Amino acid sequence: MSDVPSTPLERGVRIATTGMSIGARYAADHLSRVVTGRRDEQGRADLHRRNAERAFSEFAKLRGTALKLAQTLSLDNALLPEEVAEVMSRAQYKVPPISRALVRAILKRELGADPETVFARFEPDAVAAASIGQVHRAWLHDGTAVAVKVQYPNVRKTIESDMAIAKVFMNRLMDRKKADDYASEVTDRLLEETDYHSEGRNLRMFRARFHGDRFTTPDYLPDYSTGTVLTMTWLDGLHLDSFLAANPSQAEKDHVGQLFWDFFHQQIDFGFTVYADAHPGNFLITPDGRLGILDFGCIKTSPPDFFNAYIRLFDVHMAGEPSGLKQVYLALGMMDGSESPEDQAFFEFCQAFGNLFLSPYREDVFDFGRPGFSEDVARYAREATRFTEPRGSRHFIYVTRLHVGLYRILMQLGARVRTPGSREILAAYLKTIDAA
Amino acid sequence: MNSLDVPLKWEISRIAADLYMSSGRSVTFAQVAEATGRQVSEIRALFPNKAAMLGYRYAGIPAVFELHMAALDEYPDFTIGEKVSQFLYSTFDYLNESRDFTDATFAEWDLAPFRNGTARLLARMVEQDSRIPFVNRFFLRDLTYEAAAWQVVCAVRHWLKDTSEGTSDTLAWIEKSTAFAQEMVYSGILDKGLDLGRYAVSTMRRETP
Repeated sequence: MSDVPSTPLERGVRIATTGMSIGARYAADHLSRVVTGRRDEQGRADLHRRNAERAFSEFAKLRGTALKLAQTLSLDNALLPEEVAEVMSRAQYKVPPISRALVRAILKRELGADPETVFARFEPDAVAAASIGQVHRAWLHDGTAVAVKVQYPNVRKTIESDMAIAKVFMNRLMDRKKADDYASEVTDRLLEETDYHSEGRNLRMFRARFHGDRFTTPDYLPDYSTGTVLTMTWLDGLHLDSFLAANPSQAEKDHVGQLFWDFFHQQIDFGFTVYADAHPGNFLITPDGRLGILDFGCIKTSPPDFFNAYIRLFDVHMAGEPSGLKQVYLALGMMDGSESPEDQAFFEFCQAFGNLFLSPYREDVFDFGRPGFSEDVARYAREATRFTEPRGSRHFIYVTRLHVGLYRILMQLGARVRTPGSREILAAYLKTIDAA
Repeated sequence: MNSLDVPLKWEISRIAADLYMSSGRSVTFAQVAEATGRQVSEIRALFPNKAAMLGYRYAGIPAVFELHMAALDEYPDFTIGEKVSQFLYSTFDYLNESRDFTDATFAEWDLAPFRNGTARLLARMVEQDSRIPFVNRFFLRDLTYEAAAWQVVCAVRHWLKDTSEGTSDTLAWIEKSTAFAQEMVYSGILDKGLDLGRYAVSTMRRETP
């Protein structure tokens, strides 16, 4: 049984004590190195792992925003020490569930009757617990297997207080206006994720577009759903880690990788809307070989100007023409047009990183398991941290998250992906932008 | 009391409470008999007086809860914290069935029968839980259950005043307090302490010439 810290004070104290405890361990380690003069790399790795485990355990208790940030870190694991990234990636799957009595109380309040009355059968133990809610398996009276997502109490309240704490740190790292802009983007998305009516509508929209021979999504069941309880049909399948643990053949990995690649590209012409939560826990490989997409809370609809300029990046990078590239960077707010040395250095960095990032599009079949590719991506991601002032529109946060998430999954799979179809989609879309 | 009577008594008391509120806080056996389609004598056989009939909205809660939980397959596996919080959440649901009556009478009603029933229920929860160490049971006496029953009354008062969305503040409070109580009740520290004490005493005896 686990409770959810819900007051700003309680959450702030927990975050602060975790930070102090981790800081103290690093300080002790540093002191020991100075005093003894030893450089124990294994000891350092163990320290990273222990600290990450402590941080993860506290994030998992806090759930909500804190756990979401852990998930984001696990997506961007190129920036983290390997041991930390490995521990953080658990944030994708395992969080202590809330008590069975509380689940029953929430369901009764939301659906108007006890779960055993609403459903023919309801599994009291959660099959998955994540940052905002936990999922239970149940069966309707007509025998349909369903997934019931139950939101933790007070989650909306904790998002606002957690973001207030996060903004204190962000204001130290970047310009206040930029910090406000980024924080409000994250807050908007998180609050949107707590509205299960909205997630139900997203589910329907994506199902209408993607459910078929290659992709599938659950079906939204509004009669069994409210703003904080979401019921949808059950999808059977394997998460990526279980799929890989079964030692699939290269052909099987290529098939799954192609599905991910195509799912990403088929969203290009989808009303400036993308699935922005590309972490492995949100996908299943179904027994009939389709890609099952599970969680539709984090959907990003960008302003058309931003979205089109983002797609235009592909074109200008492929053309390799610096003036066109600069124009698009200016339009996306990544450069300020000052021609300062910092601006120029950032431009050169982006040009090089962009070229690496778009290298899959230059070949008809790209091998994401190619030696050196993931290391190169990680090296650039680390190098990005030397530009201390974040640049670019707030809309980058979630669109980039999808792109980076896709590459991480494909690198994890070591999949070989055919790219001509995606190039055609991009070219056709660019033509429509040009025509407009 | 026959447990078969519990649902009937509960339903009659609900109707009586509704009539009590809609008739300017007064109700007669005859009115209740008419509203329930039963004879006055049948109702009198279940309740000795009007106060008992109306008060069953509170006094009957532990019995109604046990009846409901008997139908819930997973209930015997619940931890002690889950059972207590389930009792509280169910209590809120039952009180919500006659919310006007609850709001109007909870503060002034004689809640002793409710507290006594709750204390007995909590004692049964402890008796049936094999996860509680033996030594802890020794300390869980009648007084503890009576104090816990008072806490249940406080929780209801808190819930009645809670204006947070979906009374989520009360839910959070219950989760925390029952989790804390569970840690105490399941803790093996007394058991281990006693073991250490016994060992220390026996060692000292051996070493004393």
